Amino acid sequence: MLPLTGYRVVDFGTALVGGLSPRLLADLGAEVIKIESRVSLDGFRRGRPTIGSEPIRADESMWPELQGIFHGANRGKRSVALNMNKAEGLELVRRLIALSDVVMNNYSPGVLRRRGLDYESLIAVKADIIVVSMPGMGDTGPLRDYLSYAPTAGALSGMAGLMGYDRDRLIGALPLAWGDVVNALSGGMAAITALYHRERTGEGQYIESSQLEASAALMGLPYLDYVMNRRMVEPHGNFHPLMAPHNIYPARDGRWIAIAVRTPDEWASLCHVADHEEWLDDQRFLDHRGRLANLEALDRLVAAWTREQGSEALVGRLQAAGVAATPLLNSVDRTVDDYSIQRETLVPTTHPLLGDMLLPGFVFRPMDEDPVAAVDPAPLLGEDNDYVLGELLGIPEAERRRMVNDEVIY
Amino acid sequence: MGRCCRARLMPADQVMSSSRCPQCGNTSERVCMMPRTALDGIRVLDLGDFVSAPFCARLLGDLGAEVVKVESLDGDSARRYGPFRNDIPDAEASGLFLYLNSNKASVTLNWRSQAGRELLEALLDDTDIVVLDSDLSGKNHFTLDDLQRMHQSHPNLIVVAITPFGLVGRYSDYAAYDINVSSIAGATSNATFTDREPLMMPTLQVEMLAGLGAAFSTMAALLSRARHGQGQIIDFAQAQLIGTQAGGAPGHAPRAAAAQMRIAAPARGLYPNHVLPCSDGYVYLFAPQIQQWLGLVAAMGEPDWTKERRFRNRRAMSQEYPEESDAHVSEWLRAHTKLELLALFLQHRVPSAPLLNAKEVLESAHLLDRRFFDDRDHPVAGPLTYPGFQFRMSATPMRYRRRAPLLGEHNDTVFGEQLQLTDDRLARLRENGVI
Repeated sequence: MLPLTGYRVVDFGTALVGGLSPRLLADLGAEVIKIESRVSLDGFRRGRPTIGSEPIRADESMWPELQGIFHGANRGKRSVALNMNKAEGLELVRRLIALSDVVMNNYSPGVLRRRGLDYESLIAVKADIIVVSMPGMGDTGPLRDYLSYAPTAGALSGMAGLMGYDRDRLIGALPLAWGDVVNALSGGMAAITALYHRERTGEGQYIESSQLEASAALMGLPYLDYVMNRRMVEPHGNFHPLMAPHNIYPARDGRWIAIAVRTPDEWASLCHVADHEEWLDDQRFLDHRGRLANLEALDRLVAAWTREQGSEALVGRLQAAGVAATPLLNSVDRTVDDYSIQRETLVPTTHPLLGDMLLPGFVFRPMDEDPVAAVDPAPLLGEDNDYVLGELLGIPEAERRRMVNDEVIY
Repeated sequence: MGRCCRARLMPADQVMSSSRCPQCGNTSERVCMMPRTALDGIRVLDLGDFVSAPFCARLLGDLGAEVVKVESLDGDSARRYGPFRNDIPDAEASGLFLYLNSNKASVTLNWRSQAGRELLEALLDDTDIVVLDSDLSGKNHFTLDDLQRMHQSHPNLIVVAITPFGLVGRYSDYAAYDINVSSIAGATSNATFTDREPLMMPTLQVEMLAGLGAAFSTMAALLSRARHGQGQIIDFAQAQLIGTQAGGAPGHAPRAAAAQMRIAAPARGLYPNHVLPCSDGYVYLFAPQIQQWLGLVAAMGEPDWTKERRFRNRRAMSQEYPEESDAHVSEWLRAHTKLELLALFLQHRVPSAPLLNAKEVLESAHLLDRRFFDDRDHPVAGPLTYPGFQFRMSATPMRYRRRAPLLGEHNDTVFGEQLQLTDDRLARLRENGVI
């Protein structure tokens, strides 16, 4: 049995952080019910889908099902289409929450309250409910209403400003929508922690995991450098104070190889594999301090050598000699890499409209679980209306038909 | 006194005077308390080194677990990393160590020796969660068989093994530092200058995120134990965590570099979504929805150029005449500071933001208002300001209960009082270099 089997999560989330965080709980066995509506689609369902750079040829009513970006963050969930702009729709949501354990959202502060779905109101519906909010800046403070996406929190936490080669060669943009990933894990961990506390005491609670603070909580290193020395860490490429070489080098076949050397043994092994024993006697590179002081020259020599090598053979020879070397894989490479499949980094699924697809897999998988052959795809909009409204809430079919006509189920 | 009452290790303000412990039934004011933190009564052994595993264990400590850090005789690697005040190395005052190891006790133990292994076993008898990792280069201290034996002899124990590629599967025997994990799993950015190498995430973020992911997984295992009554082994792979997140779109670097960028221009979508300079730094300009762009136009004071037809087509601005568009916007940006722009973006509901540095984050009115940062004292490092907690819980808030420990500071408490070793035995273990 999975850790969260038997729990029900009501998911108001949108886009990456709002979609991903409840999905992490679905991966662990929770039943996650996504509340959505054509009145206000999840941002990941909006717009005209493309295949490559070609706009898709499909009826506009189908576009929300075909957006590639939606599926990874929402696979394995159920979907109910409820119009919360109507009082009746809102009431159905409340009735569903009464049957649920956790409510997750990434609304701006104040939205839950305006809908009467804030924690204080919901404890009247379900006394031990757990509400997890994942706003950009937090529920309080002067920037409370600041509109926030991944780049916003990345910039305001100081993380993005460190991405670059030096002060004048700034990149300023982070890979992977980093802040969303950080806060999805943070909000997910908070939800599980609150469930644990509820198991022990019967008590629910309200949780706030703001993207800004969840990111800033990981930034102690540069903050403490400022606190201790009034020194601002500058962007510094792939520099590492304890390792040299420590960089990403080109290979003959156009690929990149990450190589990192910490100990004298690792340095000697690298020189042997490179067949450049003379580097070991080079006065500039005798110890770590020397290699660090002459990093540019060192990087040039190593790159001149790696540029003549095929990437796969190079990684194999360095690893065999105990040197940390790995290829840089892009998202396409990873779909054919054994690791991704073996470790369930990518998992197969079949979508009723899009067919076979590979989607992001599990953060971890309990070892006594059978390896999964496949996961459930993301739901169609309103795919589980009958289950949620009929089976769970017990609304008769005729009544549900009326609700469809009244655009309550919408 | 029941084992669930840990009052002697907790500050007095957490001891509730009028409650009864739900587990042992104790009502004595001095020794008993309700679980006021989520992990009250949970014991964690942190066998990790450097960043990921220690951060995972610290998060559990922040949630109220009692964490004992087991260090090698020369201490955790983070003790040698810094930053140090005035750059003078001191194993008791490394910023990275202090940051990652508050809410923990420290013992020293050479657990690779026979006597050390026995002590470790004794400690495990009393432990709910043990957090392990590989050595710095990714070589595993433990095989899966070792961990399975540990699990069999302690079926309630949760064993969290954090390694670059996991204990099974391809690459499990690869040497790897975080630059390697970053590159193989998708956290290295290719969106850089064409004449330069790809860039990994800065400032140990891959290791930090792995620590957070491992803590997430640990909590799932603890909840599972509470419901289903068994511990388990978590084979936590850093590359698996990063790899499963590799779906988000990368951002875009300064336009000045655009011509040299590897990302093709058509991938840029709607204008703007990139970095531009302002008077005292840089700004990430982003306004995906039309009302956000109109907000930006309003923030700029609706200059004439924004009324021209060609500057209303944001796709064309991004793809056909980006330099010209940037020239207009930059004129305005360069007349404003980062903090002025922050206020304008807030006022006009634009999700753009200045790239702040550490000083600006630490002095941010918003984070100060929310009391995010925390001033903490330390006998060697002195008073320092630390970033606060990962998230905020209303019923069981994370708490700072204990400063980062000195190396082996709690040898006597843990080995002497908890394991009840005699003074003679302790002296012998010290002589033999076991503790």
